[in-house]
Amino acid sequence: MKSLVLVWAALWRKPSATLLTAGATTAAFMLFGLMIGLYDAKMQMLNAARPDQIFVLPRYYPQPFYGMPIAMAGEIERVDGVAAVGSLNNVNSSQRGPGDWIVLVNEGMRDSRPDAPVTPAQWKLLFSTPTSVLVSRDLAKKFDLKPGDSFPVTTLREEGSTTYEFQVQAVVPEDPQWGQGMIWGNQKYLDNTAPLPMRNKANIFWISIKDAARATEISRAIDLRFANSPTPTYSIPVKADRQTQVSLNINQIGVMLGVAGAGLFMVLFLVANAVARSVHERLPEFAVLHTLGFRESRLRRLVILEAAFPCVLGAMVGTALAGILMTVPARKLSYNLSLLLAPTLSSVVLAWAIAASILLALLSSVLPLLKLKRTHVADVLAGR
Amino acid sequence: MTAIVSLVGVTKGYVRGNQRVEVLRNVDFQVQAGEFVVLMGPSGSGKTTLLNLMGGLNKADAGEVIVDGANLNDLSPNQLADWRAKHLGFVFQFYYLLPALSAERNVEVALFLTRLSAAERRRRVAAALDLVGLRERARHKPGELSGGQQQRVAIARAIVADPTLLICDEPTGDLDREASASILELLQLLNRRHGKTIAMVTHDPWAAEYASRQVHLDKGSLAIAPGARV
Repeated sequence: MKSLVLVWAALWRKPSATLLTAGATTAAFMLFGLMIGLYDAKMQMLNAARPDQIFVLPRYYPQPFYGMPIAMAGEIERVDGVAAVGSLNNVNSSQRGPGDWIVLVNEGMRDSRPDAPVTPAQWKLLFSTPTSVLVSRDLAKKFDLKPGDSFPVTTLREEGSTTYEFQVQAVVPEDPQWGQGMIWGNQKYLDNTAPLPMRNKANIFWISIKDAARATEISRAIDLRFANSPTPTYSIPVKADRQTQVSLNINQIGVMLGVAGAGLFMVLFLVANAVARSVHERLPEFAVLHTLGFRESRLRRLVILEAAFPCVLGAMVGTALAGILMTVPARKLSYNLSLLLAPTLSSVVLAWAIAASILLALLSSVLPLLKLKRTHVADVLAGR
Repeated sequence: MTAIVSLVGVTKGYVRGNQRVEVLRNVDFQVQAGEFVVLMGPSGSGKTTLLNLMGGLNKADAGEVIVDGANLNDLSPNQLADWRAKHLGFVFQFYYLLPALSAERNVEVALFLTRLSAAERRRRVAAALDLVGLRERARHKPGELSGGQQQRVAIARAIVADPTLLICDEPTGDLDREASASILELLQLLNRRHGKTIAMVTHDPWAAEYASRQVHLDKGSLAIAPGARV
């Protein structure tokens, strides 16, 4: 604690320089936090992907395309190894709002997504009426929705627009496999209201299998079964799909890490320069501390603490600001943008920021410490 | 009298460029407890080198440097640091105070290495500042003090840990005559009334008059100045 007085004295020698350095460090760590947060969000989604689930999509999209017949679910269920089949469909809202987020699911999802954060009672509520929806916490906050509320959704179709009221039955936790925010509606809504060609259709089948090790084999078996049908399929294990997305985004991830790394390097040079200049200017003060009995190791600690202050402060404030910024997309941006910008401020990001700040402090101290080591006390005090 | 400082056959040189320059040659020198010794001589005569050897800031190439019973040549850098904290106080031409800290905090820095409680540290700092006549300026930062007052703070910092030996290198070199006189009177007071042993380097014969003994160095060897009080 006593040493902190000396660190404070060193930092407060030139308050504006110290504050500017801390400001630059904060900005860099804000960037770092956002970039690592984005990277972490992608990795979380990849890690959450279940190895025992498969997506079945249409192989082609002939126009007009209304989806795959839901009756295909029965066929898929008969493929060896398939445990359950659920379907998903879009509501095609014509205005901005909660309607953008609605995905209609059928009762098969209850069994094909046993990992979904929905209780049996909530599933029951969802399928009790065609206009029921389950809203995840983020979107409930975004659109200020609570159980019992209703909201209108206007759909634009060839025969004209129609407005329907959806009713919030429950607010559920976020689904790690889904990403950011979800509103699940009842497939019956579409089956009852859409033009005939759009009824009983699915955009995606989300299936669960009995043995995760057979995911690729079962995917091939499903595609083989529908190869000569009017609706050939493209099946991919959920894990592989997420991995493909990450691989496709590999350049994006590289850019994220590159930007984060460049920010840190910028700060490294900035802090190293500030500390080196400060140590150089204060060599006589260090020499006096040496004459007062301060060991070299203690003086080294002072230099490292001096470097650590702007680094750790910048990491804490910068990451906190990044955390605040991360909440902006979910509340302010549209569906597509918020899908793009969905960083997370997890303990991993905090750990990265703290580790990076300590590493920065140590690296920033290297040159000043070498300078201090090469300095001869008697020469400094003699003004040489 | 007991010798606080005893240098026996001390030789010290430096390498400057490709040449070795011998600054001290086979010097024998003693400072007795309670003395106020002043080292004088032209530039490059080895005064500061001698002072640095006594303070353990340099090591002799040959000979023994014994201060308060410790042979400084035998001590490791860490042992030397610990020893300095307990036995020595330094005063320099430039005061080298920490500008962001108040006078009392600057003095307290010298006690940071002790196990004293905060209250005891504060008590000793107050006593030291009282001794140098700056108690009422304790909260002032160095920038708010005159050169003479800053040097007084530096002296308070040097004496607050109650060292055996006070080493002063041109303590009045940066001060006008009036401020110099008050600093030298303070050093004299510390020597005469508080029994501090002082070794001081100065160029100024007027300043040397405040000491109880003058030692002259010339070309790395000791010489007694004509008319000097011994």
